[in-house]
Amino acid sequence: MTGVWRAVIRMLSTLIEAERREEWVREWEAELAQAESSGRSPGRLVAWASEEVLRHVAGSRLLRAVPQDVVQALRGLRRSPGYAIAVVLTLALGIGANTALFSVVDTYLIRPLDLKEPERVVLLNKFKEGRYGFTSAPNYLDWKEQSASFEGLAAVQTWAATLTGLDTPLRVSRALVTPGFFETIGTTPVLGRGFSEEESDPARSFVAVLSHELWLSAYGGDPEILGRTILLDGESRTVVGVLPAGLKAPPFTSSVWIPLAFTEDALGGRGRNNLRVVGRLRDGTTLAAARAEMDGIGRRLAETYPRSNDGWTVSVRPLQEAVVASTAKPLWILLGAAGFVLLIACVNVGNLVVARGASRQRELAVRVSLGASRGRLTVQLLTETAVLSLVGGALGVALAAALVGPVQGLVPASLASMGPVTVDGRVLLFALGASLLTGGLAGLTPALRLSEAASREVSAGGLGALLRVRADTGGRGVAMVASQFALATVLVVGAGLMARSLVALYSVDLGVRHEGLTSFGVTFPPASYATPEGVSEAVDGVLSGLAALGLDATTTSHLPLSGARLRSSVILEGREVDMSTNGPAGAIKVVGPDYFETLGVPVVAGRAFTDLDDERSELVAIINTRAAEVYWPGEGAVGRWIAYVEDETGEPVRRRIVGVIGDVHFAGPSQPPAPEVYQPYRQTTEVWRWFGRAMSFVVRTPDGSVLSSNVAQAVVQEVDRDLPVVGLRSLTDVLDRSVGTPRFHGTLISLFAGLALLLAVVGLYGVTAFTVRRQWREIGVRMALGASRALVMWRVLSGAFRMATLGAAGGLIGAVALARLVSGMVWGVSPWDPATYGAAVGLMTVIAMVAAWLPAYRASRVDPMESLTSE
Amino acid sequence: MTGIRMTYATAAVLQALDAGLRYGFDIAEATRIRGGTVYPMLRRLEARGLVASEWEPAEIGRREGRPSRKYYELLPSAKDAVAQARARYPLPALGKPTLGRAVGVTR
Repeated sequence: MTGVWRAVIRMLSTLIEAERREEWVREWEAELAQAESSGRSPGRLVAWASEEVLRHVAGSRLLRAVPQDVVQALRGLRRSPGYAIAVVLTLALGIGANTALFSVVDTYLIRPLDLKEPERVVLLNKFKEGRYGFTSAPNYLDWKEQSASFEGLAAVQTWAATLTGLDTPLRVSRALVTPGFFETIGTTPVLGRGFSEEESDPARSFVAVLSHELWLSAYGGDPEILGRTILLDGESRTVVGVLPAGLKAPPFTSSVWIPLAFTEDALGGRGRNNLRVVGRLRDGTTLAAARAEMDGIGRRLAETYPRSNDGWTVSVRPLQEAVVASTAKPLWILLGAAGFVLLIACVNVGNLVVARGASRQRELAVRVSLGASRGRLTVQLLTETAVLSLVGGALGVALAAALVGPVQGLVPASLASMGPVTVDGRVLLFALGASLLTGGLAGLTPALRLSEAASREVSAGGLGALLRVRADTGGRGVAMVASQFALATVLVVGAGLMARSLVALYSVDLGVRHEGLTSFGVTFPPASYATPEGVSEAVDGVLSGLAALGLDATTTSHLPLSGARLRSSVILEGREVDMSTNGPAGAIKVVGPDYFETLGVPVVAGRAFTDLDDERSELVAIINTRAAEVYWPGEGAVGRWIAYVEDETGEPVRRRIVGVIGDVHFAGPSQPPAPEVYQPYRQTTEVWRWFGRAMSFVVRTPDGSVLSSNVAQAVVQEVDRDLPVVGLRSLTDVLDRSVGTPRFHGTLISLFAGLALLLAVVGLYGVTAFTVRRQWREIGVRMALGASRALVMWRVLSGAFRMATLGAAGGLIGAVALARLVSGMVWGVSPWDPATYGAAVGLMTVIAMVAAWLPAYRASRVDPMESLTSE
Repeated sequence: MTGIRMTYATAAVLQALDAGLRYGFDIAEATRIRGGTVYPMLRRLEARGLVASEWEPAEIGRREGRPSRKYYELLPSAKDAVAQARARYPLPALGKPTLGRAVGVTR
């Protein structure tokens, strides 16, 4: 260890003027030895020495000359614009990629939520076997009553609602919250107030708080909004408050907030888990203490109410951590990938600085002869790189700002709900830091080497000797290119794995035809559609309106791939068990008669629904193949009955199974099909309200184009002018969104891999070309002695091949080591997939050969006479 | 006047030297001032002619099995500065006062 500290001292000493240097080193070495023998920390001593050097440099003539150096650097760069442009562009790419990604990471992971003391806001969930769940009203009330760790606990239910009474009806997000919610998350309305205790009484709860955004967009920022009445799902409510602008409190971000009143029914159902719970830790209470307390409460409740709570504990997580939990790791990995790109860019710039330095040795030598110290030269060379890296950084920020838009478009929906990615002061600070660090990293080694070479040569052989000096980049150039190839290989492997995942995801047979289909949603508010028959009638109206336009149309409560589902316990013929235990379950869906045909889902047994399956005929259901296998393995399902709760009575309703259909990857291609139960919409009992009374319509247009939203709106408003059309998009688009997250990762990492590859290739080309130029005469001699052109070319190419394969081999080792990190990000391919690794190495080698070909060709064209006679 | 700016750090270092502390490390520890400040300060005081530095005789280092260290001593010219330092920032005793010896009263 002592050796390391001494080496650091010696390195630092290069910045002390020569006449004091030896004494300085001797003194610190003696102090170091003393510190070690007396058991004190040598690290602290070295820190002191560094501080002394920094103070020395900061106060010395070395830095006083910086403005002058900057001017000189700019002049010098104007003389060699090619070099300047190459360095600036390289850095701009590296810094731009990093800044763009940092702005994403900053927006979602670093920047605290805009709430009062956001670190004290926690999310409470029921927790079992690694899964977080919502909780029920009785559980929430017990948590609230029995815990002492929180200043406040509040429960939230989020749902969509329709706002009417405006020019066009508006579909908005709505959150039902218990009084005290706003205080708990730490926000205060900018206008009016939040909810009072009394307003949780259903009789007095007809009030609402608006988000700032809705207040502006729907009510034009009306200053008289307080006291105004709005129509939400057909119920009138009085506006009592408006929240601050830009309030981000996912997962609660909403447009309209109304009081949550627990009905008798909700209070009776401990197993009815539909509440999110948020809490504010008491000042001075640690997260660990709150966790310990809630753990105890959770266990007690599980013992007291085993039917609903068995095996469940309570998890307490900081809100921000909970929101970004699943997305945080990939984002950090991507930032790491961007860091690789920057490192490669640094190496390139370092190579460029050395190559340029070689052609400037004469200038440097003259400076040394005229009395410039080594420190002085180092500072001057560093200033040049710093100037370039700052320009590169500025360009990088511009690039990042341009990239933020497209990146935003790729951000998966789970993150996008937290708000848009922005380039703010902190991001700029990051870019500045990255620029300076890059400049330092790329410039320091070459600056030290060049200044050392210049000083050494001058003192050894005078000015004359120096004029013959050349920068030696032989061995080091190979190492640099190899390291670039290693880094690039890691990224190319990563990109390859992501690409294969995406191909695998896209090639999964989803079980539905999505081409040429458009979908849109309509919600039927309870105020106008109180009965199931009312809803059925309206759905009929929309379907016949579409049919009148000559469009094939059907309807469903749950669009495939949209991620939505309604899971319910089911009772099966011959398998009767108590519904409250963990018996069989299925995802309940309501569909129109032509649904299976329109979406191309095959009927594998029995029949599909027909127009005759209505409220007057026997209640029927169709299940998917997976359900048939799970419910009655090997026994056949058609003709048996299935039952589940369809209304508030809690009594299971029996339905006859009339058909079995093919499996659909309902939750997206990466999720295996789950048991599903379909029922015809005309036989829909109260089940409507379980999925928010929302129906999606699926339309096939004759030419396969996306249905115009005007057409959809017109058809729907023909039925009811207060019904808004929402989420109109092609089903293919819905599928694309379901693979949004892997696509986001894949696109970014491919972009980084592409950049890395480009920079590595430029690096290899540069070093090879430089070597060929340096060996011009040697090549001439070889050719004069009979070496063939092919041999010369072969020598250059094999040199490049060696660098590339050495690097790629190193990269493979790195990739194997890092693969564990991406295992959660790839699907359908092993993170150690040999084919991907092999292809990456192959690609790197081929590209290296392409890059080296031009210098190799030039080398083979050397005219021996000319190269030997020229200097 | 001594021609130096009497900051707290300067005063503390002067008083530590006056108390008989001779090595940068010891001074930094006794005054709790960072070594990164103490060492440059000693060099500055030396340049002003208030402090002299000397390398220990090589045999001391050899005897103790370490390189010989550089030590610092107040010069008689520092008398005013030390008085000023003590008046401005009186510190609890950092050790036995030795200014008398250092300024050569007994020598």
